[in-house]
Amino acid sequence: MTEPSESVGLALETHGLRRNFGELAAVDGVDLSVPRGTLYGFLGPNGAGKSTTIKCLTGLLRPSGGTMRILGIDPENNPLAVKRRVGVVPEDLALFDRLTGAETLTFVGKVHGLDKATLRSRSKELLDLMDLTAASDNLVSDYSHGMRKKIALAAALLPGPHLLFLDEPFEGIDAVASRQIKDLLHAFVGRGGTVFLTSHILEIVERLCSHVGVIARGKLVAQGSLQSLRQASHDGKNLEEIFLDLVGAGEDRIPQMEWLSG
Amino acid sequence: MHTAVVMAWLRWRLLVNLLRPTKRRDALERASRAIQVIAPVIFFLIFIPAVILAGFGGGLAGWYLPQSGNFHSAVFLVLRTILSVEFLLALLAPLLRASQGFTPNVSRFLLLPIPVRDLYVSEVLVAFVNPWVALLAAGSLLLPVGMVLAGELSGACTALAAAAGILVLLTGLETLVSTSASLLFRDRRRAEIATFVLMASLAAASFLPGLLTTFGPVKRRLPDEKKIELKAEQRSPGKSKQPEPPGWSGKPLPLWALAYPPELYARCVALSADHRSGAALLPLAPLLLWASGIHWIGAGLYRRILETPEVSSPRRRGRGVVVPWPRLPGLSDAASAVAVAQVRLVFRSVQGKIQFCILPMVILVMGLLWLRHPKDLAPGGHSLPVGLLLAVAGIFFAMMTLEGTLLNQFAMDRAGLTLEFLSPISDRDMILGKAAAGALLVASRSFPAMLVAALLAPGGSVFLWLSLPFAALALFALMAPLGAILSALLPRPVDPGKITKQNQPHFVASILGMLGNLFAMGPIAGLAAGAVFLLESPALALVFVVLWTGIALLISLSLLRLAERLLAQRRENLALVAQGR
Ligand SMILES: Nc1ncnc2c1ncn2[C@@H]1O[C@H](COP(=O)(O)OP(=O)(O)O)[C@@H](O)[C@H]1O
Ligand SMILES: [Mg+2]
Repeated sequence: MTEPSESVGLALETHGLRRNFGELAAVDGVDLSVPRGTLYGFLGPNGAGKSTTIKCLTGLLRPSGGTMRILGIDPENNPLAVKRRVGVVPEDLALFDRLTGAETLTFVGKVHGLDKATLRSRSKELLDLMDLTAASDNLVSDYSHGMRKKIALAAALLPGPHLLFLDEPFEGIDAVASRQIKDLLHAFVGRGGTVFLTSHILEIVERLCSHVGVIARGKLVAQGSLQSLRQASHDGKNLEEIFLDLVGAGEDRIPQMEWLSG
Repeated sequence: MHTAVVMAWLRWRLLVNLLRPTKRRDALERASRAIQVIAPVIFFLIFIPAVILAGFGGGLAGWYLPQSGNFHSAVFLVLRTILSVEFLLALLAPLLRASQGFTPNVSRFLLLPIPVRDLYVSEVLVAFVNPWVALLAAGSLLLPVGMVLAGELSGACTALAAAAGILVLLTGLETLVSTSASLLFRDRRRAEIATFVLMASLAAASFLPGLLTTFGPVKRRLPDEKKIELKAEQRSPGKSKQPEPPGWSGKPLPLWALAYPPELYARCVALSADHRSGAALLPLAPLLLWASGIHWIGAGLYRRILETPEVSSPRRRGRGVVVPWPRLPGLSDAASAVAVAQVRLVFRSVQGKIQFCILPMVILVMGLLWLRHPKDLAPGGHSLPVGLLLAVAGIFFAMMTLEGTLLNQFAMDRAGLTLEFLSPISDRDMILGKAAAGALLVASRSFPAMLVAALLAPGGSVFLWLSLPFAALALFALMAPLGAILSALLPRPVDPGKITKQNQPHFVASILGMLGNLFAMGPIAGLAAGAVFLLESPALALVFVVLWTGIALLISLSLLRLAERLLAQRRENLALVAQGR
């Protein structure tokens, strides 16, 4: 049992988290520790197990083993308490196709029992911020991919969560929106919120996050603050080299393919 | 040609991959897919002999027609019937398919280095694989072979050319209609409106005969028919006994046939078989003209659909950021939100709209027929409480039309289900919210139907009328948990924008749901019938039904608990299936 004093500073903590799909161990004994008030980047190549980890943490998948504590609560014993306090944008954007943007927010607000005035002011603010006010009356199925992502993020933020899980939040989003979302996330963290986001793109994590976990083939290969990770490899490597080292893609794999020379 | 092979391969791979087991499906899921795979296999087992039979029939006709015999006009009656059915199919099938969402998704081929013309040709060739085109192809291509066997060589040539003409024409027509349909249907909103109009007019067309016999002049059937038979005999006494005289094939080219290509084909075959292959060229020429014209237009449209971008028509402008979202009494915030979302989604789906509109129409037509011909339907000529029976039928149909929603209540939310699972909604709130939505939907469908019934034929005991809403409630109370349990066990991914078979629940769930409906109806019908016929007291019937409703609600509550536990177990699977994994 983890002592309360130990986990006070942690928004998210797992021990030996595992998830198998048949033979495949998609998540293989991951020990995460995400301090409160940080922007934590969960970095890994495609198929490393990032989304599976997020799904386990948010209750969409049942872990095959290990323990989790989210905001000090065990989600397997008290899933509702956790769900009231976290916002999630999963990889395939959980949205009703046939609700409009405004209806999506209203649905989430009603589920969380927000009163009408709060719901109205927050919806308005979020729709404005995401530049979706004009489209708020269109069905989500008519949205572009980027718009869907933004309305999903708005829906995750609406109840005022303490912890945000974002799976590849910057995929398929234009530069302006991505800038706004970054600012928003910084402001959220500045007010004590915690963000756990996944990405397979190093630059995003490097620029945005204060803490990083690197996953490869289901195993957590490194974790810590950006600084500590940089210091850990003394030989003055940049983070890209560290990342490639960690996930096991060395120089020997530089592609040949001379026929691509054109 | 190469393109066509590639396209055929692509379609084949897509089919095979669909059936391939993947890690993502659990055993229950795999079994349920396996059952659905058997259907096409059976179809092919029937289809291949049917093609052989059609070819044989064509050959036989080709061999028979050039000779003298008694059945020439009969053969042509069959031929004309088949042709007109095929013609209608070429027009309607692509429309129906488009309304069900099977428009050829051509734009993704644009990225491949394939000329548009080749794509068009492969699209046309695919139309040949249609079972009904393949049947016609077998028949019409073997018909000239039969003619050769009968010694009619020049006729065989014209018949062969005509066969090629009609086949090319029909496949071209089908491609043309399906291209136009996808131009129409590729915008979601336009597609939904078009689907609604198409379905409503088909439904109306199917009511038409019933209404016509109701309001048209009442025929004295028997004497009329006899007269006609007599007349026929007078006109051609013993004609059917003699071989038809030469020249039975009639006029080569009546003007109206120019507008109806299948008739051109029929005339051409008749003339060929009648040893007038010179005259057969007369209908053959316009037939070939038709065929090439349709392909010319079809190819042009096809190019257009490839080259114009998809557009999405904008919707009406803002209603504000907060949408009216009623709070249902007696439910928690979460359950109420689930229920309101569900009702909204069903009313927004094409299927939901159609079902809501058509049910009162069906009751109305049934009622009119019934009131018009009471003797046909009431054994012994007793006066039945028509209104009451119609109202009962309305309740029953309302339950039946709801099966798509009730028996697949989780997976039908698709990605929305994930949103529900991520939100703080307990298993109980999910189940209760869905049940409340189901109750609202049943009410929204059965009350208009009951109202129509009551207005049409208000007779019968007041007590029985009063017991109807209770009966509906008792029925639904038992069906709601059954629906939740089946939805949790046998989820199926659906697309609410379309009205396809894909939108129906898993067929095992459908069957069990149907049985459940009948079982749940049993006690109500038994109690009501017992009170009315044995105790001769409609008032007692009301008492019984109300009591039974109470019992049903108690049973329902305990079954809902079971559904709750099942849902907790199946969350992970449901989320995967709902997203079409
Ligand atoms: N539902 C599933 N069934 C079977 N295998 C899965 C499922 N979801 C993910 N996987 C597998 O688990 C591995 C990790 O996937 P994922 O977590 O989505 O990776 P990513 O890091 O790109 O998000 C992959 O090999 C993927 O194929
Ligand atoms: Mg992923």
